[in-house]
Amino acid sequence: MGFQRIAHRFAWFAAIAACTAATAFAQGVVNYGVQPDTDPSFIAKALGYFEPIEKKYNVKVEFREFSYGAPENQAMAAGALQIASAGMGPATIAVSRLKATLVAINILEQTAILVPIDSPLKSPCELKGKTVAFPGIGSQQYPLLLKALAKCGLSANDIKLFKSSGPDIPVLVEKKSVDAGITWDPSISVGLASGKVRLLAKAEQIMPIMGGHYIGNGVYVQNDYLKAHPDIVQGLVTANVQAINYILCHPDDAAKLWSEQIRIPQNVIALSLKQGISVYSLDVVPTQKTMDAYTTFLKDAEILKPTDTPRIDSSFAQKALDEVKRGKTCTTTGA
Amino acid sequence: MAKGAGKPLTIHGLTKIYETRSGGRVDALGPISIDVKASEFLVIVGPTGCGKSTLLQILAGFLAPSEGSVKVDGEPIRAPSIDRSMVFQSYALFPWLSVLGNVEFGLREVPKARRREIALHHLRLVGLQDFADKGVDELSGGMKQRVAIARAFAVDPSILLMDEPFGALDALTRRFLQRELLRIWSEQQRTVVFITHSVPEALYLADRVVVMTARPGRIKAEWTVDAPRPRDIPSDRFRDLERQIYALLDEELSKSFASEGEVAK
Amino acid sequence: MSGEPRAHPLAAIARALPFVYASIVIVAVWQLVVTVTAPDPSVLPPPLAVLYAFANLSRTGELGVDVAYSLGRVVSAWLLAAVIAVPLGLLMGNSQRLERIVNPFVELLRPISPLAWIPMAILWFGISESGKVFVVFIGTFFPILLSTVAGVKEVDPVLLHAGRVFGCTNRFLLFRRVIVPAAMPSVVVGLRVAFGTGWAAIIAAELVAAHTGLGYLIANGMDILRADLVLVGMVVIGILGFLFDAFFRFLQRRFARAG
Repeated sequence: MGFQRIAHRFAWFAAIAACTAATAFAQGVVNYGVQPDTDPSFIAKALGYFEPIEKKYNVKVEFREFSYGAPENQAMAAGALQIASAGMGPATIAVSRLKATLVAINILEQTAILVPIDSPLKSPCELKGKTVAFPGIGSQQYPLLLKALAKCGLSANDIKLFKSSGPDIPVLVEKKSVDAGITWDPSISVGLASGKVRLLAKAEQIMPIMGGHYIGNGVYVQNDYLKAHPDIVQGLVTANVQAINYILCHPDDAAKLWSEQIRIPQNVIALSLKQGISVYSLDVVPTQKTMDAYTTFLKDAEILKPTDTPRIDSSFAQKALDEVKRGKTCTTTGA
Repeated sequence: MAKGAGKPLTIHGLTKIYETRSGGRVDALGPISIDVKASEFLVIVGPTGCGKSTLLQILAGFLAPSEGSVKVDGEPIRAPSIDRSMVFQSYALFPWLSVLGNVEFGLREVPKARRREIALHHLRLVGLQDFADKGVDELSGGMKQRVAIARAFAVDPSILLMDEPFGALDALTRRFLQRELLRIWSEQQRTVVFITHSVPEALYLADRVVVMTARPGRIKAEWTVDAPRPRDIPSDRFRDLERQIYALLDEELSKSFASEGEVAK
Repeated sequence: MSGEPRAHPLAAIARALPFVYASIVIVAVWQLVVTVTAPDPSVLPPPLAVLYAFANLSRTGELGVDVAYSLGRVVSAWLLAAVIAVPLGLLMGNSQRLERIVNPFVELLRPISPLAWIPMAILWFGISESGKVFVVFIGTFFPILLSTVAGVKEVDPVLLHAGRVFGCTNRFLLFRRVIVPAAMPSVVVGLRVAFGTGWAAIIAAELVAAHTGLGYLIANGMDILRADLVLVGMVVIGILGFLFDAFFRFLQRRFARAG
């Protein structure tokens, strides 16, 4: 049965790859992987920021939704996606292992540790011997958890890890099936809105590596596509930064647009923005310094091999920042 | 323990009737009445479907008669017993036991020490003492039947029931086993009721031969075979008897082919 | 004992040779595909990379831990299933009344694949080992039960006759001395098949909800694009499954002196 499932998955991806890769190069479809979170990509799409690119280069931007990063990467590996937006964990794995390049870091923070509302725990150092739910070793949350433990002189061996899916983790914490959980937004905000869980620690308290925040979500592009269509890629990155500008200027309207697209209640998203669970900045440039700080942890955790070198190209993000700054901009949200 | 000779078997007015699913009745056997004398070697021949195996099953105690009675030395038969030992056409050896284990199977009443002795003795009787620890699947058909015979004799029965025991074997093995059976039987003559298709076999073995009719089987004729053993069947004397028996059987066979289909014996 | 002529060590090697050949061919074809199509190593690594990952996992002991967990879960579930299903099956095969009572439950539950029970198991048992043992139990219980019942019902009736003639004067004696031993080969087949099903089921259960085990190794490898880990998991699963089956067949030969 195990064989069958994996074989099925690969066959499925191969089939998608065959269809979409063919369409991508024939009819000019850009298969854009996304997850149901507060991604600027959704705002860009809703406000029509992709249309100029679509018209100019005769392409169609198609969103392909995934519930978490690993299947998104598997789709890219099979050639089904040309561009993907995912948590920095999966993004870094992809640009280290596949022929892909990181072009933007478009959400910051986006991770936190949760405990039940009446939990006696006050800091991650008290997690010793406790059960912690997490979304798996390839997630963006795992390195943060390891760093939080390392700061207290602990390691993964000092806690009991329990793998679960991102959205399920706040439920587990609420039900007290686990002592704590680390997951990504908007699941964090959904949990907080229920009133039954609270924050134990925010990501920036543990590992602030970009503008005082933890890195959340990254956008990465298949190398062949990047080489062949740099203008399209630039257009997509610029659209993302324009969308971030909109978010900063009109957070409530952005929350409304998101709630329509990703089926999370508007007030939950508003909470996320106000409390700085997800943070946005026009500066989405992935610098070597930022990436080095992050990849060190992935290598220590043996998620990346010592020889893995993530590919980054900051030129697109830099150009986008310069272009958007020429117009009217707003300041960053969040604490 | 050694009871010596066999016991007499009295069959009186025995019938077996089956009810069919459609509510009809099938007369499978009888009425039959025979007095089998103690230590007599009785052979029953009859056409297929005449009910001779049913008769043997009743004598063994697996089936109850519909009418009539069967008594062993005056006692009615209630259930199968080691006193009415049996040899089956398909050997019925227990594949999870060794040859010795099979022969010992019926000897539970005997204290453990004696069991092995008795079993080995009987294996020696059939010439298979060297195969005591072998598995049943390592034996040929003829050897398996010899083990079955050893098993049947080891329990020191008063009556021995044999249901076409050599039917599955080739002609040469048959002849060999017929001689062996007589040799073993002659030491302590028990009552034997032996069923066969083969007329020469019947004449070779029997004190008395009974010919059954087609279904429902009744006794058509019987002959006492007074000749000393071993018998030279091809000789004129027996040829004549053979011819008579065949003639009767042919009659019955054509009757059974004429009737519609066969019912399980 | 029963004088098996095949116990010769050279014969055992001779029997293993076809499998060795097949393995070599598989690896050769694999390497050929990798060389010719030059795929992304995250999608199809060459055999050597997998061997290296295998050596690494063995060295750190991680592979041993995963094998121990997967195996432990299967063995405990399988033993539990055997302890319940064999006696139940023997009794069911022997008693029409009991069979008529139990059978409807069996026939209704049996078609539900153990894999379909996984979500329920997570809901009921949550994190604990019990959930995975439960899933494997479902997968092993029915094959053992069915094989055992069949084993009893398929006992040659003439053996029952022989048993009754040669001293089994009541139903209990007949059951103990003839029916149970006669059914054993079928029971062993059931145990063998069940172990295979259980082995497959544990991998599926671990793919979804575990932290250790070979299924987890595969799932984890998938998550971090380490196809070499996935393949190590697959190869080890295949080899272990094969070894267990061979072991059971050996037991089968021991048990069944087929008449």
